[in-house]
Amino acid sequence: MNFSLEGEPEKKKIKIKVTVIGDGSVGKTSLIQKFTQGTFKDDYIKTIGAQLTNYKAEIDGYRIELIFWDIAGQDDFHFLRPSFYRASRAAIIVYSLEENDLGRRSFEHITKWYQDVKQFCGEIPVVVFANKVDLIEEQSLDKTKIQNLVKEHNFLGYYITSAKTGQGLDEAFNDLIKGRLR
Amino acid sequence: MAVINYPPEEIYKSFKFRKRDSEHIILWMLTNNDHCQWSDFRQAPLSFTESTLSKYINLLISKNFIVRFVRGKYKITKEGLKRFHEISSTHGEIKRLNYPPVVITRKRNYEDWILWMVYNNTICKWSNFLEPPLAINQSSLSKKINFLLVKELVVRENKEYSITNAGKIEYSKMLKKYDLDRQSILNEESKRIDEITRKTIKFFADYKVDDENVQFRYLETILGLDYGRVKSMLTNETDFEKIILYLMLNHPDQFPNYISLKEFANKYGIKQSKLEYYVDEIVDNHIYPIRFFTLSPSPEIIYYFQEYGKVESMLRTITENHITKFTYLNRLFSRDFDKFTIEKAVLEDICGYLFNDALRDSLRNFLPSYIKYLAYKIEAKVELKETYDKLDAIIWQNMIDVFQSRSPEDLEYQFMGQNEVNYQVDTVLLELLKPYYIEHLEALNKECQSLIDNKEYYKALESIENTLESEEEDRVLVIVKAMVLCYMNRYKDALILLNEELKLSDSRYRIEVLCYFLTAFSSLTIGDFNRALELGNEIIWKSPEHALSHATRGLVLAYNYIYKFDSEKAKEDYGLNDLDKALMMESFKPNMALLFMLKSRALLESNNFEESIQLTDRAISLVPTKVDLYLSKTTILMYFNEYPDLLELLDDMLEKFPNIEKDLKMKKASVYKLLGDLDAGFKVVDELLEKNPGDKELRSFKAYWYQYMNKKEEALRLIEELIELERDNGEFYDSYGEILMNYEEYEKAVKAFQKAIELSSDGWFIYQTYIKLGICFKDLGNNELAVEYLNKGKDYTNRCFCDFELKKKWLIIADIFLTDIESA
Repeated sequence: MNFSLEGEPEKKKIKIKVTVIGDGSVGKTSLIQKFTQGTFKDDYIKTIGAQLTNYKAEIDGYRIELIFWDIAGQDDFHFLRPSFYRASRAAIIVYSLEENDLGRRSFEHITKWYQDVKQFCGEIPVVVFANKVDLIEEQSLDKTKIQNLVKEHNFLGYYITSAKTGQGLDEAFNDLIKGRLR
Repeated sequence: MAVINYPPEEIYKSFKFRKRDSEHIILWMLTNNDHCQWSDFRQAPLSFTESTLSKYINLLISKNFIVRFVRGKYKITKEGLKRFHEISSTHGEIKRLNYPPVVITRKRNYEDWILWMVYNNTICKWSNFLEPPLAINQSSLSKKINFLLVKELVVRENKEYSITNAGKIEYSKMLKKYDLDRQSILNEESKRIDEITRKTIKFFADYKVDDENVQFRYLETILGLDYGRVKSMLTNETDFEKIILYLMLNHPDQFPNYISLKEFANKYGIKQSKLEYYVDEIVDNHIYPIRFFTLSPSPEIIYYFQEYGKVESMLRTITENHITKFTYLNRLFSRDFDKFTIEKAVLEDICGYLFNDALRDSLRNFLPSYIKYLAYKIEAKVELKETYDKLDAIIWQNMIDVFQSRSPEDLEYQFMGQNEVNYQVDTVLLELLKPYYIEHLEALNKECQSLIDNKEYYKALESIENTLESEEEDRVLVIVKAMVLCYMNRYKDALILLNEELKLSDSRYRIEVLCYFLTAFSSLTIGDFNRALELGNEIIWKSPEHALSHATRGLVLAYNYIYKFDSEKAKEDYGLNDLDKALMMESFKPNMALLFMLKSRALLESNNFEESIQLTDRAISLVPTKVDLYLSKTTILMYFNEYPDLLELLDDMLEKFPNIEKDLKMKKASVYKLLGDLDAGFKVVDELLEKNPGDKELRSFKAYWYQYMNKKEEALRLIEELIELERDNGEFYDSYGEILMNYEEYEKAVKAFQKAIELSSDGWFIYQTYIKLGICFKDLGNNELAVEYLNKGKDYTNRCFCDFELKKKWLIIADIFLTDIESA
C-alpha cells in the first residue's frame, strides 16, 4: 500500500473514461453538466463534435477521476467512432422521454448506439438514462419497453432522470461507478 | 497644299559637262510627285531660270516624256519614266544599290521592301526608297519608316538608315512569307547565324558549356532574341548570353539537376539581382516575342521551357489530341466536359515520357493555365474560313470556361484565404450593395455585373481591371472591384483598395456608405472586430438616414455574436436593433429578405428556434426564388434536429430548384442517415448515381454509404476504383483514408492521408486531412507526430474559409485529441 506525506495510506487512483451517447438534443451535455457542476441551462446548445468533462470524487476509498466523452448525437464523425470509444470503461446511452418524434426516435435508436458500444468497446457496463422526465407525467410512464430492452441487452440498468431537476442523477452515476469498480 | 518632294542634293547639284542635268532633275520631280507646277521648278532649291526651264520643258514635251495637262502643270508619261530610269542608272546611285526581287515588290508591303533594302545594303538614304525602282510615295514611306524606327528594326544616323539586330531577325521572318527559293532563304539566314555562331562558340568555350542539348537549346533561343533590345540597359553582351544560359540550364529536361539564381550568379560571374531582373523581364514581362513556360516543383525551383521548343511542341500536340478526342466523344455521348479526365489523360501521356514523372504535381498545376492559353490562341488567331479552322474553334470554344474555374489564380485564396486566421462572413450579404451601385454602372460594366451574378468572379475581375485601366476615376467600379475581391476571398487585397477609397471619401461621396459596408465586412473576415465596429458607428453618424449604415453595424454586431470576437459586447448587443432600423429604412425587397436572413442567423445563435424560422420564412415570402434563403432555413432545421421538417423542405426545394438536384439529394440522404434510416438514404444516393453514372463525387459519396452500412469491402472497392481512375486526385485519397480509419486500419490510413496532402496541398479538405492524420498517429501510439499534425490541422482550419459550424467542429475534435494526449 502507498502512503501519502501525512502518513495516511494513499488512496488508490482510478481513471475511468465514460462514453455518453444518444440522439441529438436528448440532453446528454445537460446531464453531465448537472452531475459535475450542479447547473442546468434551459437553452439547447448543440454539442459540436464532442466534449470532454472531468469529474473527481472519492468513492469507497478510491480517488476516482471520471472523464466523460460526450459525443455529439448527430454522428457527423462516423469514422472517428473507434477513436471516440477507445478505452471506454463504461457507457451511458441517453434517450428522451418526450412524447414526440424526437423522443420516440431516440428510444428506437438505443439498439443502434449499443451496437456501436459493443463493436468498439466489447462487453463494458452500459446504463440507459431515460431523460427529461420533468416534461412528462411520470405516473403514466410505461416502463415495460425499456425494461425489456435492458433485459435483452443485459444492460447494467436504467434510470429515470431529469437534467433540469437533477432527479435520478446521483443514483445513476454512483451506480455506474460502483458497477465499474466491482 | 501638297508637299512637294525635291531631289537629293547629289542630283540637283551634280553637273554634267559643267551644266546641271536639267532633264534628270525635271524627270525626277515628276516621277516623285503626282504632278508639278511651273513655280515648283522656279523656286529653291532648284531655282531654274525662266529660259532654262522653258527650254527643257518644251524639249521633254516634244519627246513625249512629259505632258502639260492644264496650264502651268505637268505630269510624267510612261516614256518619261523609262527615260528617267535610264538617266538614273547612268548617274550610278541605283547601280550601287541592291533592290528586292520582284517576288517581294509584287505586293506593296513597303515595310518589307525597306527591310530588304537596309539588310542587303549597308546603308540606305531616304531618296533610295523614293526613287525608282521602288518609288514609294512620300507619305507611305514616312509612315513605314517611322513604324520600323519605333519597333527598333531600323536605325537612322546622319539621315541614313541601317538595320538593327532585331531587324535582321524580322528580316528572316519576313522572307518566309515570300516564295523565295529554299537556298536563297538559307543563304540569307546563314549570314545572320554565322555572326551569332561565332560569338556562341566563344561563349561555350569560355564558360565550358559542353552538354549538346543545352548547346542546341541555347543556340536555338539566342537566334531568336535580339541583344540590341536590352543593349541600352545591359551593356555587357556576355551578361546577356549568361542570362540565356541560365534559362537553358534550368530546362525540365535537366530534372532533377537545377541551378539556383545564387549558384549561377556565383559560378558564372554575374550579379544575382541583374540575372533575376532580366529573367523576369524575359519570362514574365515578355520583352521578347518568345514565350517561356514555367514549371515549379517547389517554391524555390523553377524550370523554363519555350514555346515551339521540342518539349512544348510535343506537349501541345498531345494536349490538342486529347481535347479533340474528348470533345468528339462527349458530343457523341452527350456528356459534359470533365477537366479532370482531360488533365489526367494528358498527364498519363507526358509524365515519364516528355517530362520526368516527379514533375507530375507541378504539371498538374500548370496544365489548366496552359490549356486556357492554347484556347485563347485559337480564339484569337483562327479565321473561320476553312472547315478545319471551324472545327478547331468548336473544339476549343469551351476550354477557357472549363479550365477557368481551376485557374491557379482563382484557387489561390478560395479555401485558405490571405490571413493566418479567417472568419467566414456569408458573401450572399454582399448583395445588399447591389441596388445602390447598379444604377451608377455604365452599360459596359453591367456586363460585368452579369458575370458577378453568374459567380464568374475571375472573369468579372479581369473585365473590371481592363475598364479601370482607361477609367481609373470610376469610383463605383473600384467599389465593385473590391466587392469581387471579397467574393474571391481576397479580403486583404480588398482592404488595401478600400482603405485608399476611404481616404477619398467624404459626406458628398455618393457611394461612401458602400465603401464603409465593404470595409467593415472585410475587417470581420480577418477578425478585426474593433475596426469593423468603428466603421459601423462612424457611418451611422455620417449617414443616419441610409439603411446600409445600420445594416453595416448590424452585420458587425451579429457576427460578433456568432464569433465572439468581444464576448462582453456580444452579451449586450447582437445587432438586432440596428438590423430592425435597417429593415425600416430599406425599400428594396431582396435587401429586406437578406436582412431578415441575417437577423435569423443571429437568433439561431441565441437558440431562438421559433423566431429564427419565422424570420427566414418572411425572407422567403419576400423573394421566393432566392435559393440562399431556403438553404439558410435548412441550416436552422438541421441545427435543431428537425429532420422531418427538413426532409419536407428539401422536397419543396427539389421542385423549385431542380438545377441543384444533386446537392439537395445528397443532403436528403444525410438527413435519412441522421434519422437512422440508412436504407432510405442509400436509395437516394443510388438513384442519383443512376442518373449521373460518371459523377465521381457521387461514387465517392456512395462509398461512404457502404461504410455507414458496414459494407467494408464494397466501400473500399469503390474508393479504390476511383483512385485507380484518378491517381492524382487527393480528395479520393482523403476519403480512402477516412474509410480505412473507420475500420481501424491506421497504418494504411496514414499512407492515404499523406498521399492526399502530397497531391492536394491546397485542397478544400486538407485541414481535415491533417487532423485525421494526427488522430491516426495517436491511435498508432506516436503522440509526437499526432500533436504535430493535430496542431498543423488547427492552423489550416483557422486559415480556411468554410462554414463556421464545420470549422468549430474540426477545431474541437483536434482539441479533444490534444487534451487526451496531454492527460494520458
